[in-house]
Formats: sequence, structure tokens, C-alpha cells
Amino acid sequence: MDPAEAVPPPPPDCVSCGHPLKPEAAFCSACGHRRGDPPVNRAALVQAKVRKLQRIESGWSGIRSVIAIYFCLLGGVALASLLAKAADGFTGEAAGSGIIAFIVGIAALRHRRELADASRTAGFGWKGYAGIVAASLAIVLVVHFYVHGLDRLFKLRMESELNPFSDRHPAWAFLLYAAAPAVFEELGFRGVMFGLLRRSLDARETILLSAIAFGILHLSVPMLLTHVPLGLYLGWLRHRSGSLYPSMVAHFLHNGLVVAGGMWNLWPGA
Amino acid sequence: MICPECKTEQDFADGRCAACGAASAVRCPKCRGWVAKGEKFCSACGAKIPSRADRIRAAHRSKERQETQQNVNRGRRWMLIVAVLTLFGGVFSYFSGTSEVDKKLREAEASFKGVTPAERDAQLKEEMGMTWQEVVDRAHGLVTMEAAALAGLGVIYMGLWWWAQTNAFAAALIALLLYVSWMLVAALINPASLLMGIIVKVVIIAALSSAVSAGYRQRALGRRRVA
Repeated sequence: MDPAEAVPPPPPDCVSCGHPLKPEAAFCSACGHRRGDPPVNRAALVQAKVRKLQRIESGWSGIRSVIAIYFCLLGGVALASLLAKAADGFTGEAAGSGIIAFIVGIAALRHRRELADASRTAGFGWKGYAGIVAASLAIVLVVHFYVHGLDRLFKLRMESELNPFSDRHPAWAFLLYAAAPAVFEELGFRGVMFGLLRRSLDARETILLSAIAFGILHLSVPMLLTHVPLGLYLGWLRHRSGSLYPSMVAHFLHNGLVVAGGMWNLWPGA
Repeated sequence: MICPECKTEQDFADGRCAACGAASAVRCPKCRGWVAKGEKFCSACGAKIPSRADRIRAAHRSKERQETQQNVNRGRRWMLIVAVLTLFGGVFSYFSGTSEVDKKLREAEASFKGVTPAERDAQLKEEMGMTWQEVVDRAHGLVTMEAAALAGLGVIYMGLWWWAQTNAFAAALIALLLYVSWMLVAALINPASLLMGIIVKVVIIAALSSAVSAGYRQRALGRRRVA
């Protein structure tokens, strides 16, 4: 047989989907794959799409959990405030700490996966923790001058926050004002809420939202100006270190120095 | 291009085969070349040729986006209303609080009739740890600070309303947390305030919640579109 009369070879198939390619086509008309490009792993593409949808769904469920935890904490704070009015300041403080510890404990158990990585590492070395100690002193002084300035500006003659502990051992003030918030607020805001928000938001938004929620929950508009920046700092520590402990230490030092300053008049102008 | 109906190489005008007249070609949305009906991609430029199902899906998605935007806009409107009301509340609270404090101070001053200022100060110092002037300053200071706090809240809501243009989800979430928390603070100070305007409060909370969910959906839809 004359080679010129031989049957022309069949058109090449698309390497991606196997559809026959037209001679002049630059792209496959069935899947859009460019002629000459390496084959596409379609199963991987579908899997990636499914993972993305799952991430969106899991992010939304995280946001709903954050809102639910926040409102539970808000209810706990309100209940403690009612108890303080009905009984006395110390009972209110003790009940408040207990209620918040209970709510955070339940949330931490329910969402323990969000805490797993952050609770396994110390985050920083000794230099990092030394920096936190130095920064705490500076932060407490700034907060002290702000509160003192507010008192002077409006001539409020504010009562000391430590009044509920006036006839108790100072250890109670350190336990309820420094240790308990450092553990449970950090576990709640920088632990569970941070992890749940991080499912769908970037680090910047997560730090901002957890700091604002932390600031608002203290239920004082003037103190938003100190608590939101403090929340941003603690959130940054959590993000930078990847651990819960640096922010717990910073929170404990901040509150502990405020209690010590108030108890023994350590700060200037007090 | 080969006509899918008569299977011969033909020219197309207005999507019709020059030989058999069948409407068997469509324009590629990207390169404007003719593509045989039924083909999913343009073989010249690789653009996707939208099918009927694609067009229905696109219309559906566009409607969903529109609804989402409407919910976000409703949430933003309520943020602005709450901001303006809170700002006015601050101004009102300053004037009404000042006049109430002045009235109480006048009554208190009348009760000290016949007592010299020095004796009055001594008596007050013993009872409250403050002189008369310090009591007056504190009462006015509390009213001013409360009004300033309300005005500050108004400014925060205004900022959230502005921010919601670019990040509706975060702004609506913060506005919701702030609104419910502030409502609780007001209820702790005066429990009767919880029931005042309860319907409006419920509408505001519902609108902000729906803006949070719509804001999140908007982000998700946006991300899907980019992908």
C-alpha cells in the first residue's frame, strides 16, 4: 500500500480528560486544558474545593461558638454583679471568678482541640519572659496614670477596687484579681476564642476581635481605652509565641502589680 | 469550524451554519469567536462557555449576593441609628443629669440652713470623707463622665458603621457584642430600662445578628469568586 494513502493518525487526546483534540485547537473543548500543558489532577482539585467549603463551614460554626461563649460570660458577669449587690463585694468577686472559671472550663473541654497546640509549648525562652516582665511594669504605669488622670479630670474621688478585700487576707485579692483572671480569661479569650476565630480569620483580625471582646466584657466604657490595647498586646503574645503561657504570665503580672500598687500605695500620685 | 448538525466545515453568521441553517454555534464570551453548541470550553482561548445550568447558577448566586448585601446594609443602617441615638443620649444625659444633680444639691444645701460652711464641711467629712465642694465636684464629674462615656459609645458605633463598608463581618460582630453588653450594663444600673423600647432593641439585635451572618457569607462568597 502507498504510504501516501495510509490512514491519517487519529487526533491526539487531551492529556487531562482524554477528549479528542481538534487539529487547530489550542485548548480542549471539553475541559479547557491547554494543549501541551502537563495533565491536571482533577481529584486533587475536587478535594481542594471540598476542603475549602469545609473550612468555610467550620469557620462559621467557630464564630457561632465564640458568640455563645461571650454571651454566657456576659450572663456570668451580670449574675456576679447581682450577687455582689445582694450580699457583699467579696462574695460578688468570689462568685464572679467561680462562674467565669466554670463557663471557661466547660468551653475549654468542649473545644479542647483549639487549645492542644498552644498548651504544649512554653512559647518563649527566658529572654522573652524577661521582656514580658519589663513590659508589664511599663503597662501598669501607663494604666495607673490614665486611671489617676480620669479621676483628677472628673474629680470623681473613686473608691479603691480593693475595698471588697479590706477585711480579708491580701492573698485573696491576688487570687481573685490576678491569678484567676490570668488563667481563666486567657484560657477563654486567648485560648478557646482565639482558636475558634482563627479557623476562618487571619491573625490580625483574630487578635483585634478577641481584644475588643475582652475589652467590652469588662463593662466599662472609659476602661475600653486601656483594656482593648491590653487585649491587643496579649493577643499578639499568643500569636507570636504560639503558646498560652506568655499571655497568662503578662496578664498575671499586670493584675498582680495593680493589686500590689493599690494595696501598698506603690505607684506615684496614689 | 465544523457544524455539529451537518458535520461539514462551514462559515457561521449570527450563529447559524451557512449550509444547513441550524443555530449550532455560540460566541465565546472572551475572544468573541464561534464555538459549536454543546462544547464546554472555547478551543481558541480556553474560556468557559456558560451552559444553561451555569447561567441559572450565576443568576442564583447574584440573587444571593444581592440579599447578602441587603442584610449588610440593614445592619449598617441600624449601626448608624444606634450611633446617632447614643450621641443624642449623651447630650440629653448631660443636661438632664446636671439639672437633677443641681436640684439635689440645692435640697441638700437647704438642709444645712443655719450651719456655717466650716461646720458643714466637718460634718460631711465625718460622714462621707469629703468636703461640700468635693461632693459638688464629684456629683458633676459623674454626670459629665457618664455623658462622655455615652458620647464615646456613639463615636464607636459611628466608627463601626464606617468600617462596615470594608469589613462588614467584623464591624457587625463588634457592634452586636457592644450593644448587648451595654444593654446589660444599663439593666444592671436600672432593671426597668431593659423593657424600655424592647421591640426596637429586639429588632436591632436581629438586624445586627443577620448582618454578622451576611458579612461572613459575603466573605465566603467573595473567596469562592476569587477561586
